[in-house]
Amino acid sequence: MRVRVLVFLALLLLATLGGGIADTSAQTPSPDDINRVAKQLSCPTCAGINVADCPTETCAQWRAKIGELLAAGKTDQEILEYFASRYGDHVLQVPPPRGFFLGVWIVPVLAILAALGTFGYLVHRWTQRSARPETSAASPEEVEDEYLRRVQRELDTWWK
Amino acid sequence: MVEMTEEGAIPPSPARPHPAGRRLIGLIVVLALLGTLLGVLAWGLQPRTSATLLGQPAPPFEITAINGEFAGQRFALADLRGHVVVLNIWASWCIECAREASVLEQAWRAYRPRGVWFIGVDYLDTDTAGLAYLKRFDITYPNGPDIGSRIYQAYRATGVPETFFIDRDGIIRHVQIGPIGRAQLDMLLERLLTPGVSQP
Repeated sequence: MRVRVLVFLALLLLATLGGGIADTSAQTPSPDDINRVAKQLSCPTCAGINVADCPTETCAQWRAKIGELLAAGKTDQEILEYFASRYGDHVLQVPPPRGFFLGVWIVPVLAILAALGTFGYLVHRWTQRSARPETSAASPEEVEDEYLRRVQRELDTWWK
Repeated sequence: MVEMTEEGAIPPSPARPHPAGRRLIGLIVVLALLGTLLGVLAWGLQPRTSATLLGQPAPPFEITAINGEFAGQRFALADLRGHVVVLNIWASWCIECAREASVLEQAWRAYRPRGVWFIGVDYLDTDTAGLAYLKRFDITYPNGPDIGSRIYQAYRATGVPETFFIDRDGIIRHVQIGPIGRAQLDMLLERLLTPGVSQP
């Protein structure tokens, strides 16, 4: 019985230590953790490079800040919001759907809707044309212009 | 002469817009789209550099100082009306900014008794790095972070360092792109402090 109790206590101790180790590792973010967030931020002083891949001093400072915030228990989203409010929305790799960047989300949707509408209209027109009964080229029904209509009438009179 | 017989009569066509009318509407739509596109392009191609603000009223700004005796104090341009203001945009990672840091601090100490305010705007920095920079150069005039990069954008800055000399009426009289030397700084401030002379 005493052995069982000792084994139980030993296991409990190991579990506690294990948990402690796990907590410690959660408080010390790995480079992968930092880069995961840094990849979602744009280098503010270069063009088209994310903070994870950027070799500048600015981005080194930002990566250190991301590490600090992760260590403080902030989530990825909270860190991104911190950087956006501190430095502006333009530092986010994915522009947020607000303010000036709202257009980035709305314009493509409007363009797709306009393209679909135009395509639908054209298909409708083409199908209507092809559905019309075959008539001779000189059929009066086809002629809309008043002048051509008169010419058609003249021709009809001549051929009678 | 056309004879209008019952047989020869053409049935009226259904009411549809005239082809020429439809073409005109299409042309108007295309021209409107092109005009909008060209307008947006022209707007985008307009020069938006800090130099274009010369002679213009300085955009309003507000910072909360993080250093020295001013730490925690709020500074707004509107509250500094009647004073000559030197607005310097810098960053700790900017090598050229470090070249002028001591010059600005010396000038602040020299011109503070004459009512000149130096304001530092820390652009794209972390607080730790910004404070370390201020400590390294023993900068005592008020400095604060550019929250949301709003001041940088409002002043159309093209990089760091950039320094704006604002006269007592709130008009930008000089824009210094890149580091400034003491002689030039003195010359500009003396001109701005001379009554009746505002154009350096």
